[in-house]
Amino acid sequence: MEYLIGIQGPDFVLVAADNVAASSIIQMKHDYDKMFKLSEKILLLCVGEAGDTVQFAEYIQKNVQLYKMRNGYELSPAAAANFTRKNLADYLRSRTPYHVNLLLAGYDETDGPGLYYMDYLSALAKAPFAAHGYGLNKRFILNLPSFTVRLIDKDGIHDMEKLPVGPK
Amino acid sequence: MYFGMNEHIMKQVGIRGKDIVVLGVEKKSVAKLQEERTVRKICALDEHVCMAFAGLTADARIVINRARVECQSHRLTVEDPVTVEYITRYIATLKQRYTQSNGRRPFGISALIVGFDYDGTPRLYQTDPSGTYHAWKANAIGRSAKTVREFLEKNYTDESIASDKDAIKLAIKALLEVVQSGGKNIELAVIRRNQPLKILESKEIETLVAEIEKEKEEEAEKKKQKKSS
Repeated sequence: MEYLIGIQGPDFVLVAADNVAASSIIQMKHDYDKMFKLSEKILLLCVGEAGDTVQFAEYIQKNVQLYKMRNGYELSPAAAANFTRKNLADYLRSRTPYHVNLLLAGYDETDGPGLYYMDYLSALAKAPFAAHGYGLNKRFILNLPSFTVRLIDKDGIHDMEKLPVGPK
Repeated sequence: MYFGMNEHIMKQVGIRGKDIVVLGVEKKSVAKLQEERTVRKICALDEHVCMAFAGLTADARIVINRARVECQSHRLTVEDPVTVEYITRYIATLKQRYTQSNGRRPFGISALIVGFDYDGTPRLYQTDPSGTYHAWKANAIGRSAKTVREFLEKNYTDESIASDKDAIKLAIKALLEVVQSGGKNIELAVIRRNQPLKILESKEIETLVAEIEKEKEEEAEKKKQKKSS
């Protein structure tokens, strides 16, 4: 029951992810961060199979950093998204596919803000708004108690106030 | 076998300060029609480590690429950035392997590797084609390295590296000892603690060179006055 959401604005992308790390019906952590900083202006939000999420996201993260070291400048969000998709697609028809659902959000100097939706079958779509999961509150049997919210704009990644959900 | 190499190598100087590490290299003058910026001798290996190499540029590209991949691989497996010693050891081990296997020739480069460990300690290491590495407080490689090293031995004191600027000026002074045409042929890179690699612009270098020249003149004046009185 993990939830990711992203909204692209005129000059920013706003993303939020829930903070629960669960193991079947037990909440292992209530303050888990599901966002991975790929570079100064790119965030990867990753949910799915336990273990696969961190393994895959960190692998992408380090490869994006390696590109920066090799070339002296960072990958654009579009390039990073396509790189991620290719990796996911290559693993899909191997013996060890990664079962992860992703949102990639970034800000490009020339193209502006961008939000990319990717699922475990390695489908990639650039969209103005996207989400993974249910995220319902009133009509759902389970409530996600809190969310980490971040904003990406031309000045980089900014932490927004953590959103608690529920009776005030 | 490797001693003769020094004569063709461009001069380089590395200085370990208190809160800063400095790498200075002599820039080879390029042909008129050649684009200057494709000749880069100082490269970042990771955000907190960089290296300057002297020797065969093509060999250096291979070593630097392997080192960059290893820096990220280390971060992935142990969740910590490499220490300068670790990556130096990795590069040295790589070089040594090529001195002991058949069908391969050694990497024709010497490298000065500088950076900060994550506990904040500044480090400077030197490697050579044989695969040995040593830590230094200040060192020079390349043509007339001996002269420069003697200059550093005389002038590297706690006060001469007291501030970041002093450390940078010491590096420039050391290079000026043996570089023919002054500031235009010097490329300088610095890493400050918790800050990424910064390559100084030629304007900044010119300003510092002018300061050094002025200080030299003032010293000479003082000496003259002392003599006459």
